[in-house]
Amino acid sequence: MESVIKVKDLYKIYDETSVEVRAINGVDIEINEGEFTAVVGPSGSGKTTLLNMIGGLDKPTSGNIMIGGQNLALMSSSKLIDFRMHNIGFIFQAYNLIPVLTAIENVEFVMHLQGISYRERRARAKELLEAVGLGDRLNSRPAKLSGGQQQRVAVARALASRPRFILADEPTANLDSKSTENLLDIMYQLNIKEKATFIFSSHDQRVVNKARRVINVEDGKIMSDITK
Amino acid sequence: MNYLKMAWRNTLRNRARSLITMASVFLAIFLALITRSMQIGSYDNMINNIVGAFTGNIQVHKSGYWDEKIIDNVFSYNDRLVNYIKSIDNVSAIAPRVETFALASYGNKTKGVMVNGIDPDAEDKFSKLKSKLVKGEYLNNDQEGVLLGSSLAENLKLSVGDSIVILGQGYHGSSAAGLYAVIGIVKFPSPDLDKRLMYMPIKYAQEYCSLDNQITTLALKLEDDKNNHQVKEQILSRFNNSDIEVMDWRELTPELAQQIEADNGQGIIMLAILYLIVAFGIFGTLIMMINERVREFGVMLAIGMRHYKIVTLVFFETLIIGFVGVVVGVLFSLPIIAYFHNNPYQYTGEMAKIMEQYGMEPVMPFAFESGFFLSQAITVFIIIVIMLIIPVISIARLKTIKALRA
Ligand SMILES: Nc1ncnc2c1ncn2[C@@H]1O[C@H](COP(=O)(O)OP(=O)(O)O)[C@@H](O)[C@H]1O
Ligand SMILES: [Mg+2]
Repeated sequence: MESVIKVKDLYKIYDETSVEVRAINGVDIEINEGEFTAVVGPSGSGKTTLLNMIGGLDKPTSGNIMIGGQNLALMSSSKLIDFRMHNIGFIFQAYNLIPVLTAIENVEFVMHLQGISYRERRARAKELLEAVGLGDRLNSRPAKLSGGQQQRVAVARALASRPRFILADEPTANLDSKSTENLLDIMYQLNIKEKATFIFSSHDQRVVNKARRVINVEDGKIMSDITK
Repeated sequence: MNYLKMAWRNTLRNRARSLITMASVFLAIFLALITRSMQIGSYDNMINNIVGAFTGNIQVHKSGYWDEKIIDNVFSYNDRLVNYIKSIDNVSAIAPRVETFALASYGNKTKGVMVNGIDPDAEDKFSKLKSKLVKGEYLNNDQEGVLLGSSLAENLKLSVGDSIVILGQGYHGSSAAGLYAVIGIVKFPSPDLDKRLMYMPIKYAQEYCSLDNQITTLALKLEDDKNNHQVKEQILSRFNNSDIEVMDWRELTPELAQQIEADNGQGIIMLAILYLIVAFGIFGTLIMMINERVREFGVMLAIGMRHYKIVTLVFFETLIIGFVGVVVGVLFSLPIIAYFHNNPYQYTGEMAKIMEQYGMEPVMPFAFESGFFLSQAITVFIIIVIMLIIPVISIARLKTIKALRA
């Protein structure tokens, strides 16, 4: 298996005037293609900070993040935006769909940014929405969808651009247990079918149980890393 | 899904706010177009009237004549001068005049008059003098006779067929006197002119003043007043500056020019205030629109939309609002302007008095210039661009992570 993400000696220190917060305090991880990995830990342990840095949204205080052999630290902020567009899919806790776009347009959006032709992106968006069980809601705006449905659109959107991996920070935190199970099943199936690499964070044990690899974080450090 | 379509949907997102902003643009454009076409139309009317009635766009005199209007300040009216001036582009008509003050008597009445020696045909072409005739006959180059303003005739209690004595200064200190038959009465809209003016063929006026082929005034009419500076320059470049003076209507009728300038200044200030209000309206809308969407922009940045693309989106949103306002404003003002262009508004009060005093019809046809519609649209566009500067900077400075946390 090829490694997609290599994190070395990573630190993120917030200088809260005199009291420094070591949100990430020396982390090394390697993530391979096709993984279905959960980052777990109590609130405030550093999950979001870690995922944001891997996703190129936040800069580490020190340490290296290599994605597909490229060093994020060496990229300008606009280069980083393009890099994210081509390499990383995001699923947010608060769904964060673009409100004026319909479900299918939201899924098409990144492909549009990538310059993929209308026919091609439409076909893929439709296929993905069908895969997440929303084949009948293609033209609904986010406001007309339930939280669970919105998050499934977000999953389809994250996969649409065929990224190297998908980051999902607490994707089920706003969902009820039925929707949570449903979403994880869909993610799991897409992980197999689309060979999509998923890294998601959670502090929900049921979510963690679905993962094939569980990385336990506490106080910005990895306490355990278990592959089932 | 292109940006324009997305922008359109975003403007529909907060319909009330978009509508209010569009309405402010609409109102500004509407008021600007109406008031400015009114003003510009009335200035055009005034200028055309002045030019048509008497003064002309430009007058040529002997140097110093305007300051000291004495008969010694004359210049030679020769073919060289006439041919040269006629050859200048834009000069559509010329009228030579000998203007001199005199006392006119009939019976036991005496009045001060302005004697105008004219070329009857040239003067008619220039100021449609013949159409002002209310009694008797028009002048003829070979007939010794005069036309009087109707109030002047009334004041002197004379009519066509009577003879009038005039007395004044001739060239180089000679005295001038003559007895002339009144062959016609003319009526001027301006009461001031009507009680002072007397016309006679230029030949007899020159005889009366002991002049050779000399005149006091050469009035010029131009095809377009905008060119008056060039024409002045052309005349001055050819003739010696110390011999002649060349004045445009602004210098010849400074009160009118000031009146127009002051009015125009007020108009422009009003426009500026109007547009300032619109500018703040647009700015406020933009700031609100951006502030409530920081997180959305953060998501866009996260999934790979570059800052400039977000700016493009916001630019289109603003443009749509401006465009709708401008188009609706133009559509509403167009029929109103067209109507008053064809059916001029009638003045009353102070303005009417001033205009009549200058021999103008107190009406205001609206100017109908396509360029003006365009320039207002461009003004709004420029305002939009200026008002976008700060929002664009704030978008360009957005940090993905911070925006996502908003
Ligand atoms: N922007 C920030 N400024 C200061 N401290 C922060 C900031 N973001 C996170 N932290 C701190 O870093 C630590 C890790 O936070 P976070 O990564 O959000 O944890 P988790 O996602 O596991 O709840 C916490 O102590 C939090 O207070
Ligand atoms: Mg978190």
